[in-house]
Amino acid sequence: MRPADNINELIKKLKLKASAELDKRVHDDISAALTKSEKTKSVQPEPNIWRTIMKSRIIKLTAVAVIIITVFVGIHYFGGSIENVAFADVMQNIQNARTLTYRNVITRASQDPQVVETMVLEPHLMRVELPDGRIWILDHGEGKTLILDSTNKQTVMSSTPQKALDLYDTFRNFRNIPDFSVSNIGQRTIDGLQAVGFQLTRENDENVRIVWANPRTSLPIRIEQTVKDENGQVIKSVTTNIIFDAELDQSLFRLDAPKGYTQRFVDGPHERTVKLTKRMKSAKNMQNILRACMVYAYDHGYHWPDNLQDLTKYGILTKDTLNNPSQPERENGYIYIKPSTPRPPHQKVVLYEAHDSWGDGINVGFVDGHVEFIEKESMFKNQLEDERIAKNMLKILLACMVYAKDHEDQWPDSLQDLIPRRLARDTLIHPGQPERENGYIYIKPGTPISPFQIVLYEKYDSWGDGINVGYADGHVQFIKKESFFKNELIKPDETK
Amino acid sequence: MLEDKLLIWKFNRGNRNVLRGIYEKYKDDLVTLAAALLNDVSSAEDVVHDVFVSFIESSRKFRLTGTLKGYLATCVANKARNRNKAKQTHRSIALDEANPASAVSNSPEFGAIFGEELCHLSWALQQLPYEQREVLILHTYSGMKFKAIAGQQSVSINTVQGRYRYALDKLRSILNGEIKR
Repeated sequence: MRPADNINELIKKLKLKASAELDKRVHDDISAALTKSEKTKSVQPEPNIWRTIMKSRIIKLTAVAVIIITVFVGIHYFGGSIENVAFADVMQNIQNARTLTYRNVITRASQDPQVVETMVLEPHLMRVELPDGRIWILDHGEGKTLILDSTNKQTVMSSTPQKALDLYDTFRNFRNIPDFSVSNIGQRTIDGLQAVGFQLTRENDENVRIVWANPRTSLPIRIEQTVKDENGQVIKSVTTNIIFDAELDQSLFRLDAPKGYTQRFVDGPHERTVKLTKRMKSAKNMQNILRACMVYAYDHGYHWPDNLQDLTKYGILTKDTLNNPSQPERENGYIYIKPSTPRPPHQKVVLYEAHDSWGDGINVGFVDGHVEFIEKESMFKNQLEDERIAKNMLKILLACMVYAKDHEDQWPDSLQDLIPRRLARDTLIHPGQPERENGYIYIKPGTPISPFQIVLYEKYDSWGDGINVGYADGHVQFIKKESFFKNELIKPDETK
Repeated sequence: MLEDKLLIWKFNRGNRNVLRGIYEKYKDDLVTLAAALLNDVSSAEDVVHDVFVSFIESSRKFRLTGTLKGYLATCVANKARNRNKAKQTHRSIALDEANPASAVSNSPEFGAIFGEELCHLSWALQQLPYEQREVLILHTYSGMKFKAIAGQQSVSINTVQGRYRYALDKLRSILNGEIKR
């Protein structure tokens, strides 16, 4: 391809790097602007000429007159005295706010103060920026919360509003206080402004709420709250930098993940209902599959199908039943474990939902046709593992019996004698303890052999829920009680 | 986009430190844009510097209506255009001056910075009338919409689209000719 054919791509490739000199020039200018703005903000010490002026009696009287006139003019101009500022006006302004931005300093017992910046876009939206860089966006209308974690580039979407954010929702909390009474607590200078204080109290409520408002504008300039959380811990919150009706872009409150962020969802009531419905539909599918398996086995000399597709081919199951409604993207939604014939007593699990991660749990189908939802992954894995162990032990016992048949009823001296002719080495490895070369204890039975004699059992360091035990008649049993097992182990043959 | 809105919101609330973030984020793109328009790296850096000086001074007044990148690109384009006009005036006064565009574009500086292929492109861009070059660069490199460019150049959207087409055709023929040569 000639360059001329691809001009747009070529232009996009143009890339210059700003020189270090330009970097320095711009950063110096920014620093200068910062210094200038700091100087403007800081209070400049002014010459103390007050005492000099006040030495003159005439000037003193003039000053008094000026002050009196100023106060009267001020009252006339602003339409009321400082005392006349009503809390109702302050509340009215809070109620009428379209947007609010403010800073909260939250102090909990034995913790460093936490500075949180909050933006509110009425009537539903709130954005809270935490000091650790995380951002919480809450939509009361949609009933959703999004947590943006820029450090780990991930978002968490919750389909319910998070109660944890209530603490930062200063103004919503205010509007929702029922039946409070207000008392004027005097005046104070805050950030160079004269402010009037109001304390809000309620019967049987120890929480303290103080609002400092600008008497000229009736807008709150500082809000102090001392509240107790659910655990009785005292939390102090001071709200400052309150700005009413600033321009806030709607995009600051968007509930979707930025590009390049991973997304995680936390369920709310609606999602839970949907999930539960799908889980129940899946369980119903599994019951139908198991029933079809039983019919198939009945028609095929008690042999279960090799795979689930055999059921559809045989015409006793529709293809869509093999699809798990919770994971419609999977062609085969279920994993089938064919039981051998005759069915070994240890095998119980024959079907379970295919899954990449465990989540809340999975539906598991048992050989008797019932389906159970198992929440604990460990329980499910233990069940499968126990079945594999029992299967291995059965193979070992069978190999021992074949060996005995070939050796004048003499069982092998050790399990190693069975390898490799009668048993694969892997069979001696315990699925739950793969690090052990030999996962089972073998006790060579004497003659005559008692069928109830224990000849094989799982090696164990601690008892746990129980162990699988193999008997000389070739059956394997799971024993739960250690005392019972030990009793079985030492019992004289004739008492068994 | 969201990040930019937040930066501007903080900037308008007096947080000048965000300027550093804005500068670091867009400096290379802006210098490239200015250099493509002016074909002179030094002037390009001056333009970017001027844009940021004006931006620093616009505290609390600034309201972002489109994208921050688009806004800064427009500022750079405006300053570059002014500088270009000044250069033209100066050139018309200095009648004995040789063609500066070809002299600069063939300079080893551009070859070293852009590489051989892009140096050809840069040279070819300089052969375009300024208005066409501006449209092409703003649309293709800075991703600005024709409508926004029309607003910035105070012309109709049809004119802008026409300039873009002419620019592409001309650039294509120049580049093909250059390769044959």
